[in-house]
Amino acid sequence: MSVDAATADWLRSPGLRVTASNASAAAWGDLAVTSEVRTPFEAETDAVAEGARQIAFLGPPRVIEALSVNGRQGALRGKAITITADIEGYRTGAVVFVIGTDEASIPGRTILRVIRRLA
Amino acid sequence: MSEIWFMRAWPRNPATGAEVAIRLAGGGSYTPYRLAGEDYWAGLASPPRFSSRLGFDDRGWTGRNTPETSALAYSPATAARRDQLLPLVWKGARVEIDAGEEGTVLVRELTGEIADASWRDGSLVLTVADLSRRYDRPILGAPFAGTGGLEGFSGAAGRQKRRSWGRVRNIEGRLLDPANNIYEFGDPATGLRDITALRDKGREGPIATIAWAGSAAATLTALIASTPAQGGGTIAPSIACAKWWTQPAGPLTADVQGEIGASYVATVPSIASRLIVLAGGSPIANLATADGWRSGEAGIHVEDAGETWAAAIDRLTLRASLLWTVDPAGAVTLSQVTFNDPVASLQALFIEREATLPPMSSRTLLYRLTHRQHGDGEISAALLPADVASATPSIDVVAPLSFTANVAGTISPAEQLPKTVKLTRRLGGVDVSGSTVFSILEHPGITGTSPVSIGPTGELTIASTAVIAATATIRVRTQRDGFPLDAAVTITRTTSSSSGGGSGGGTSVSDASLAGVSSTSMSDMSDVLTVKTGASGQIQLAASLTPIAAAAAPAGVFAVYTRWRYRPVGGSWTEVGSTDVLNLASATVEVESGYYYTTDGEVVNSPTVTGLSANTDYEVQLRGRRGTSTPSKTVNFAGSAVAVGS
Repeated sequence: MSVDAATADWLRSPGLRVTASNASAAAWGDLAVTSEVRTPFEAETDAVAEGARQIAFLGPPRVIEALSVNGRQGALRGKAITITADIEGYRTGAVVFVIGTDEASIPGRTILRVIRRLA
Repeated sequence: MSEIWFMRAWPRNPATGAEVAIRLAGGGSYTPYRLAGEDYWAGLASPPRFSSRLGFDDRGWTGRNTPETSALAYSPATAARRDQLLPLVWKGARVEIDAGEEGTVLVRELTGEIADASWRDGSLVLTVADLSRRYDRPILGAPFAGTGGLEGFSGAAGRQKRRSWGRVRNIEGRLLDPANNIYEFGDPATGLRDITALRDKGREGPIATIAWAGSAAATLTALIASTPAQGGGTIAPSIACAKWWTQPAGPLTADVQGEIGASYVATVPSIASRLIVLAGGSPIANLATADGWRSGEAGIHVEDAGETWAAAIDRLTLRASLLWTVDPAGAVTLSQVTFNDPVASLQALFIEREATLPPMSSRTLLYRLTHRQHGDGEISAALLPADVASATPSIDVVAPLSFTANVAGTISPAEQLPKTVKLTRRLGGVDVSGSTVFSILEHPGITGTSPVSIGPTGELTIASTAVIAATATIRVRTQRDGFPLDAAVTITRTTSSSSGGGSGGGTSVSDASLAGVSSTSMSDMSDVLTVKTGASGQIQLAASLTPIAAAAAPAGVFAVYTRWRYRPVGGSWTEVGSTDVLNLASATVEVESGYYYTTDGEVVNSPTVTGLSANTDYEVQLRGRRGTSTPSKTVNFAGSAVAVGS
């Protein structure tokens, strides 16, 4: 079987590609980043769906912040929660994604390290 | 009330490697350090507190799911107790921690391992980690020994035995046995479900499969003994090996379906669950739900000696926006990385901002990964004679086609069309039609609206709209590897005609427009024909017919029975013979790749009726029926029903 052009291109590349774009990042110019990731998926439809998920999470400008909450909350790692605090961005409640928990530093409280979208 | 905590750990005796149960406790104000009938030593200074962190930077997850850790200090009350603990090997020991308020039911805080242990200021300081620590061992086992057979030739010594799960594309074959052109695509001990493609310099070849022969060694022996088709290979998926027909011109690569294990798995959650089980854990607790989130086919290939189970699970799940976490009891669950559907609402005090992450304008995702990326010189531009010296291209000869028409030249019965035949191009005897470009050069003698077409793998179809001359030809070009090969399909159209007159004063009559049959009850095929006997008082009946089933669903084998009958004009019918006559060959319809292929049958039913009145008119008729009523189909007939009096 001969090698058709599409197969040859695929063999020369690390894999087939799809790109998920974030139109709202256009105003940021060079400050906005681009990135590439090797997914485990076989089908284009699954890669497209994964692209939509990843750009939804990574597309907006975000901050990593630390907040403390009452009690032992280690089980929140890897979950989305709503946090209310008396500071700009949290006053009306902000949905954040918890990437770290520390129950040891403040007795009776847990420090959460979270990703929060700014927009 | 105050908090109380109990810890059980199983460090090992350095001399024997046997586990030694150690029970420590701390906290509380009135509760004795006794739990489930066991005494615990006092002196565990602080309650367990855990911290954990997922790696994340500007461009997303950094691929490390850090296990929870907590430092616990134990201060022995006596030197004797210290000396009891000091010799033990704590690192890697199993540990369980229960804690809670005094007077309440204690809860399991952690089921995990001792990540590290040290002695400082008279105290034993233990760092405990959750059970995700158990996944920090490398996946790949001992490399090929290079001792021959399944351990490879001497040059394979020290090479990693790779492993794959799910759908994995274009991994490179590595030489296992140079004398026999045997290549390995993974660990022969774990095998693969299948090798779905083999390529030399990117050029795919035909493959034949060697089944499991009862043992890995016997399977390898069978693979060595095999003779691959020219330009192709023989595969033995059960030992992750293949034999190429000759020394490959470039990198030999394969698409595979990975290990089977308990059962073949190919979704991200199911593969992750399999890796967790292989590492010693329990299957993912919410696997069915997670499979619903990510149901697409996926795969992972492990070839780095240092990659741990945890790193591979991270690589698999984080790139699919899934996160795996281990709960205190050791159960693993998957959750989705999303801001949607928050699970709790909490009041908080702001502490600090650690980092600001810029927006991401685009995210490119690679899928269907090529694990062996080819250089320009590693792609075969064409099948060159130098590459495959003895492979000769050829086309299978297509038998001439014949259609029956009425006296006006119209194809009759009409169900003879459409007609599809298959053209097959071969290379060294191997069918390569799937990679051949077919085109129609010309079709003199056939007119009409789009009368002729050809499918992508050589399915030549004459449409029902075709008008066919008495003779016609279709010329087809097959193009592959730079070598065009042409084929001609010849067609003849015959016209049904009556035979000559009878003898001895008898007459001859025929009917070339026969009705089809569709049920198992006898129905009229010919008209009622009037024929006059001659001096001998007999009638020769003749039906040499071609039963035809239309090239359409349903496919099947369609047998028919026929029978003649006769009567004096206006009299009663007499059946000829004692039974209905079965066709010599049945009309058939087969379907392949969406194309219907027909094979015409054959009916011969030509009895002679004797003992009739001389020079007298009789009426005759041919009738017929299907052999079975299903599948539903009308069988039509080309040819004529003929009666000759003599």
